[in-house]
Amino acid sequence: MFELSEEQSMLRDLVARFVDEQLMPLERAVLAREASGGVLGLSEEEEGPLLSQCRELGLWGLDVPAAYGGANLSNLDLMVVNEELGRTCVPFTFPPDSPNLHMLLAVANDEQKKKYLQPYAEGTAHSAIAISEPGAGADPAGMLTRATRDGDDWVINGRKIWISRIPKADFTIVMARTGEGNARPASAPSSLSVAHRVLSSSARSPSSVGNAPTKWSSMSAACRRRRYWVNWVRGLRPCNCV
Amino acid sequence: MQLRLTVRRLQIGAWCVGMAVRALGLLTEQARSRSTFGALLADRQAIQWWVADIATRIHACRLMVFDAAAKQDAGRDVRTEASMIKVFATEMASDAIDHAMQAYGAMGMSKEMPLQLLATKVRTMRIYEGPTEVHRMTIARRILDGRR
Repeated sequence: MFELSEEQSMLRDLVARFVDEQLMPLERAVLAREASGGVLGLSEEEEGPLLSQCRELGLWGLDVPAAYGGANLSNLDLMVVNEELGRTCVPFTFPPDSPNLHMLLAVANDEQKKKYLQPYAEGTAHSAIAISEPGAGADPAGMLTRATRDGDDWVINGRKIWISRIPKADFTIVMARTGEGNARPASAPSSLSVAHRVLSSSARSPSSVGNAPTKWSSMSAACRRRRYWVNWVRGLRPCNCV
Repeated sequence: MQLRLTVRRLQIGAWCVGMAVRALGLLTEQARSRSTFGALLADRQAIQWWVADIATRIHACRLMVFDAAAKQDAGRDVRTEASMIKVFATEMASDAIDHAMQAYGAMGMSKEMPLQLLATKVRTMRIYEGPTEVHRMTIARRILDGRR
């Protein structure tokens, strides 16, 4: 028998009420906007009050560790939350959207945590992640983007596509090769574990982590809104960011 | 990146359960109110089977999601479970939404109803964070290699 704890049931009820009372009433406007060729999303006027409500209800930083001011909920708690959110077609997630949070928690050094993780965990900074390339989607190990060390800087060459949330992002995590050669390991059991090697080969490098200042560190790169790539990447061809 | 993808895949599973719950809600609402050829849709065996199958698969998927999340909380490697969820949940929700649309007829596809938006959303979920075919491949390889 699988049963949710009392706390999880309360959390589910709280989120269910939020979805029914706050999000469902917005569906009509969201659908009408999308039908008339507008942007699929919430306007600032719609999103503002929702975010205030979230803060009030404690629906903020749900899986952020207590050290960063979050509720430190478990994965199971989050499943309960996300099921409720799935019931509406209104695009909304409680800030911050968590997958990048876990990645930063796992690999960022102290300086990066302060610069990127802290504001992201507090919900004041938005993040995106750049993985796919024109020739590497389902098989991320085929990525060709390369980061090479140049003094205190990292220089990135490559093209990235399908970067969700890029228009709102304050920083973007860029996946790139840091090792030698482009050949994919023949013994790779799956494309994803190869991608993991791509990541860990850079994240494990002592010269790339914790060596400040860097324009691009092992895992994360800052970019200003709408100035993606421009200031800190040399030799990069323009890409279409979606 | 693996951790990030696993977190997202479980999240997708939970979203899909919610989307299918919504689709089932809309389907039952229509089944109880719409009459054709002198009988409610709810009295037609075809519709009843849709309802039963969708509810069954929602139940299965919710348990899969909870199980994987609880295992991850216990520090276990849930990459295979996450792949299974990614395949099952997205196909389950696609099917639920598709049947709800069918019950509504043309209205189900209209831009005024949330079903078409949910259908588009779940369609993309079968692609991002690893397409269905790649997940099936990795699940099968782990089993065939005796790693699971």
